[in-house]
Amino acid sequence: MDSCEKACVLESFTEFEEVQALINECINLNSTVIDESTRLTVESLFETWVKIFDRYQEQPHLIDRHISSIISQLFAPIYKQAESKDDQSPSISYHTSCNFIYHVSKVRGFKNLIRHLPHSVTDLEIVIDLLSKESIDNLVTWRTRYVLLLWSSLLATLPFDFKKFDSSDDGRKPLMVRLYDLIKINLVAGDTPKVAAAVSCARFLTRPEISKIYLESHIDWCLNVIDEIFKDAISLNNGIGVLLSLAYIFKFGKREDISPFAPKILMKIREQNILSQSKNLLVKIMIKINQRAGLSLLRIKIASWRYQRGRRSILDSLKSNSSTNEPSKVSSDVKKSENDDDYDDNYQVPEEIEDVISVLLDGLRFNSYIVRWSAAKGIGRVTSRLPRSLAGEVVSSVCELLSPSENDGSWHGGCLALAELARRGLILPDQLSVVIPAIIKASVYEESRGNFSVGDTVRDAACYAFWAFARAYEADILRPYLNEITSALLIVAVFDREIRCRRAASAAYQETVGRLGSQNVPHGIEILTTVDNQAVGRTRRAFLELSMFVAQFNNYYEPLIIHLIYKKINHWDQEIRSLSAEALASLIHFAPLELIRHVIGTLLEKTLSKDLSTKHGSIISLAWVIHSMREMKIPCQDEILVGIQKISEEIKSSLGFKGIKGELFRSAICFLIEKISQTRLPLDKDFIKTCWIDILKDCIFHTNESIRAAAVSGFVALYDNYFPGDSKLEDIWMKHLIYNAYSNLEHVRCGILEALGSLPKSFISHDTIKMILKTILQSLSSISADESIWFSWKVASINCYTSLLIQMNNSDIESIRDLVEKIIHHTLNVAMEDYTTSSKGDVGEAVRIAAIISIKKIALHFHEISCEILTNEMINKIINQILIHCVSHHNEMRLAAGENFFEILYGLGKHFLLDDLINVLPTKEDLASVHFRDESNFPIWFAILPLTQYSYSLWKGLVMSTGGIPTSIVKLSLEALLNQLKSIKSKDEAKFKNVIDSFIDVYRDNLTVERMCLQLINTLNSLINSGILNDLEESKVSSLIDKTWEMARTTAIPKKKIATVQLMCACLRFKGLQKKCLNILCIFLCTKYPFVRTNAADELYTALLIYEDIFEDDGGKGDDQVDEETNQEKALRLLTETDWNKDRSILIPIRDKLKSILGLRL
Amino acid sequence: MGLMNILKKLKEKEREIRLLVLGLDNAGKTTIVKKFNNDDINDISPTLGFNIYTLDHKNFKLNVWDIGGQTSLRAYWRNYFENTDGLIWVVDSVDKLRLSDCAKSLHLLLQEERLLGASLLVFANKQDLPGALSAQQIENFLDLKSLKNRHYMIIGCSGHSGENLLEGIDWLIEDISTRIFTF
Repeated sequence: MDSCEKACVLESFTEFEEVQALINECINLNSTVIDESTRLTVESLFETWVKIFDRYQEQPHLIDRHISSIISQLFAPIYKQAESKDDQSPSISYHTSCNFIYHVSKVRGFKNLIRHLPHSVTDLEIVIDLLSKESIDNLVTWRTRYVLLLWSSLLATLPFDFKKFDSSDDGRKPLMVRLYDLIKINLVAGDTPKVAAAVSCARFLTRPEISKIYLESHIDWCLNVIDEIFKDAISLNNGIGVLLSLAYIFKFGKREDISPFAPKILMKIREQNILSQSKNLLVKIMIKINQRAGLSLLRIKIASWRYQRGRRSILDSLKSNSSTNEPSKVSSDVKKSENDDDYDDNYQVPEEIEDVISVLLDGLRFNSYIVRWSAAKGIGRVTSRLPRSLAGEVVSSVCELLSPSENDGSWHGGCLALAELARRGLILPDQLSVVIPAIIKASVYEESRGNFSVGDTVRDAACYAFWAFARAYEADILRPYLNEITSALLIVAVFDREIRCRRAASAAYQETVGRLGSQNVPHGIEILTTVDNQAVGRTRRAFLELSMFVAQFNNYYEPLIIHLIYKKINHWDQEIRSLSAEALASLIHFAPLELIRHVIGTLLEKTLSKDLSTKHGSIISLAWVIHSMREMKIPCQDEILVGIQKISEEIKSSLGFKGIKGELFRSAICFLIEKISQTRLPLDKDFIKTCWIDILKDCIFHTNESIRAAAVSGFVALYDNYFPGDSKLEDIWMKHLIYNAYSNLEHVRCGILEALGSLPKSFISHDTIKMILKTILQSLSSISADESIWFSWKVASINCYTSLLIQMNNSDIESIRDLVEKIIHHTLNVAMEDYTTSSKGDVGEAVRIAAIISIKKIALHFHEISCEILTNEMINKIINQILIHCVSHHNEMRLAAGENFFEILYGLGKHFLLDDLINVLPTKEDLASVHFRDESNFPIWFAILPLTQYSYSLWKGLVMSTGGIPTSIVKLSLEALLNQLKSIKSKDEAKFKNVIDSFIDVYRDNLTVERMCLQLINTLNSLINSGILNDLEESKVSSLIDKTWEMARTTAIPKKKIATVQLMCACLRFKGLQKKCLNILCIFLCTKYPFVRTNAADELYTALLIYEDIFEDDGGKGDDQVDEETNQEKALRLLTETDWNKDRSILIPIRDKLKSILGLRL
Repeated sequence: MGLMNILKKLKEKEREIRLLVLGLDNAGKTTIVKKFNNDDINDISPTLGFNIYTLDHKNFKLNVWDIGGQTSLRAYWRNYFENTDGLIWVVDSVDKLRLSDCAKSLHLLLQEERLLGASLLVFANKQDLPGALSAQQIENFLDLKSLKNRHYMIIGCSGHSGENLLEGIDWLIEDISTRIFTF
């Protein structure tokens, strides 16, 4: 189990106390009138209830221990309701109880719940009375009806004659009539209670005394409903309940009672041609009725082998193989009596069965999963009651579904049916030679549909079939096929693309080993403990590790290899092709020469295929396999060399291909060049120079980054292995690169930089490096408008100079010190602050991340070679610049910054006086548990706030989080920040002042920076509103207000104006600044933008309500209107009465009036 | 629904066993079930209708259906036959007069198709009372040896003292669990 899966698995029902509290509250809901507040209470109770129980949907059995207690308590309000007078409206606790019970039944399943319901004799009358009061038109109380109907279904099994229940002849209808009427009403109601009604109906009608009275007429009714539905599908919803009741009647009924009705039902099914319908649910129910009606005509047979195959649970049988039960007291002359040959001979199968089976067989091919599934179970059940010869025919018919002309649905249905048949031991040993190969084929069934495929359900069902065989059949019978079966299962377990299929195969393999015994499956235990449910979960691990593990046993390498070369290296999913090629190369190590030759031959042939996936997959497989052969020291035959040349020439001539085809060809051939070069296959050097170099020349400038990367590695491998030190080749390559250096295509420039950055060391001289670095620096410092958004090119530039710098030694660096310092300066001050945005969004982010990684590499390298450029001062600058990004609002940014920050800190900290940081930050060990992407990690960084030399940078970064978007980041970062500030303040007032001063500096310096402006104002606003700045000198606040107003006055961005309005309102808490802020706010009331005006009015209104002290000074001024409204009321009235969207000329006088009320000078 | 889902459901079902307790009235069915469940057995009246007990035993969940045995109720026993794994037939070992009635009822019951696969445990109850017939004698009386295709065990017991109840139930569960699920 994965750790996250494990976390979801619950141990036990832990919320019992909470549930008990909810029950108590529910029972104590006394009122009968629903007003708004009780409605809300009830809703929230039910919501909580649902939330708790929904947690157990995956493991509902954990509730079992408590169900009885829960149900019996919840029945109290139901009984209470039964006692109340007719005219009273039902109590709220009654309906709430029913809602609660309904939800438990939904989670646990009604079949399980039913047996916990009370069932005393007197309950019958109660349930009928209550049910008769519930209208089917009430859309709110349907759960109540559901619960009552479910209850009635249990009471309908009471072993008494219902006539005895009718307490008195008070003129009312007898109970059984009333119950049946209520059931019928609910059957056709069409909402969820119809299911409960159907169960109840069937229980009721299959009672011995009732069936005599009602059963026939009910079945006739059902038949009529079938006619109606098939005539007019609109009535489907109301008919489903009735059909369900029919299905349940045939489930519960005693065979002799119901079988007389089967023929006419089956006739109806034949008449209506049920599979012509498109409504899946309807078809499924009809298939079910067909099956059960058929079953009623057949005698039950009990599988004779069920004791021999032993133990319901595989775990038990694995545990206690030794324990044998005492046969002494068991009378079972198994041998003689359980031989059911004689049973077969004199048993006449009714003719209707043929139709039943033919409907089921058609159902297996139906295009809906649920129908096929139901039909498969039907096939299993019906066949289990047939004589052998007939059963054999059914098996043959099912096998026909697994044919190439059928679609995936039929294959799936066929496999399911074979599984159901196998589970019951109904496939005869002499049919296994047909059935098992068919299922093996199904276990790798996959039909490509372009960029997806169908067939995973087929493969899963094939595993189910194998699982079933293992359960039901003796090892002796399966032995001839065991090797094939286990190979097939292991192939699926390690090489299926879908996790569910791999898991299913692993489970089926476990069952096979467990049931048939490890003596029949050599190394079974070893394999099953390694290739387990958890291990097969990860695709890469399954393909590369588990396959190698499996291959070492029983010559499994052979089927695995064969499967890969015929089924997987041509897979439609490129990822799977690549994994398969890699796996193939590993598996080759187990294979004998003969098989390897076969593999190579097949691969060479497939490289010429017209199919794109096959071609791509076979080329990369060839590359991998040749590499492996080299490792194994197997000589390469000429045909391989010829084959490689042939495919290379072909691709070279088709380099014109664009799109996916061109990309696949190129990535495959580059990979081939790299791998073959590494093995130094004796290829003709002229061929390499003319063909491969040309291909690489083309690919190095491809638009796709991964192809460029493949070309770069291809060239490096080619040069190192075939032409080390060959100056002619160097020349050709460098000329090709330099010739294109001034291309105006971004990807060409990237290709050049990537190639230059990875040139073999022997290849380039110091002068060349100097020239390259100079050129890069030059082009980066004179970026044109077009180039500014070329983030890939910028990243490639940074990567290029970084990789060149970190392969230089101290003296080389010293000789171009000036240039190096400029590059570092660029990295730190330009690249790391690249906030370029384009239509693609924040494209600067990639540059910033590249710069951070670059500076880390450079710093660590310089430290290693003790380069003098690396000074305390520079480290300080680096740390500060990275810190800004450590608290970014971008998760990826925080990740890159955080990781690299700590690499530098722990790599260099001891040498460059970073102890103050090391002391407050997590230790190296603790870091393992820190996920930098996780937004709850802000507090880690805030520990640095009090350190004066870093606090400016930290503030600079974190205002983007505390004042920006998204809200989740704002909330978490702000909360962490305020906590940290509070703690600093309480410990050291002076330090707190310093921290705040840093913020003020950041604010002043960056308010005019577009991307930071709003964030700064928002952060300041939040800080002021939190009250943490209440003691701050008003002069400082005043200067911030001035700065903000200066910006807000001239900006054309309404958002900034509105943020300023909010800030001014927040600043009203500083007594000495009130006039200043109010003045500014009044200006906003008449600003150009109506939206800002109304906003200012709203904000001011709220502020005037809060800060009443604004009016304290001039309390006496309104003395001419002593008993009229106060100034505050006047101001508020003015603000609300005015429509601030109106023309400014109208608004200015009003604003002036407000100003005088507020005591401001005009 | 894939194989992993089937297995998950099966794992739950494999651990659940449905037992049906039947017998003539006054045989001591309810006493046996209650005693086994450690309930108070001092105040037991004839079962009107049926009782359902859910017990955990040996890592299995037993759903025990105890149905009233009066003559008038026997016609309704069939309401409860579905999916029965094991049948517990309780005999009053002292009530010699009704033993033939008891044998007839049992054999009639065992003809029921839906109980074909169920294991049979016969409790020869009330062994603590004087004059009780032995399990052996009752086995002969009920003609159990004539049963074909049925795993059964008869054991003398006392619902009152609890003697042999555990042994009987343990056999039943062992027998049920050593056969495989076929549906």
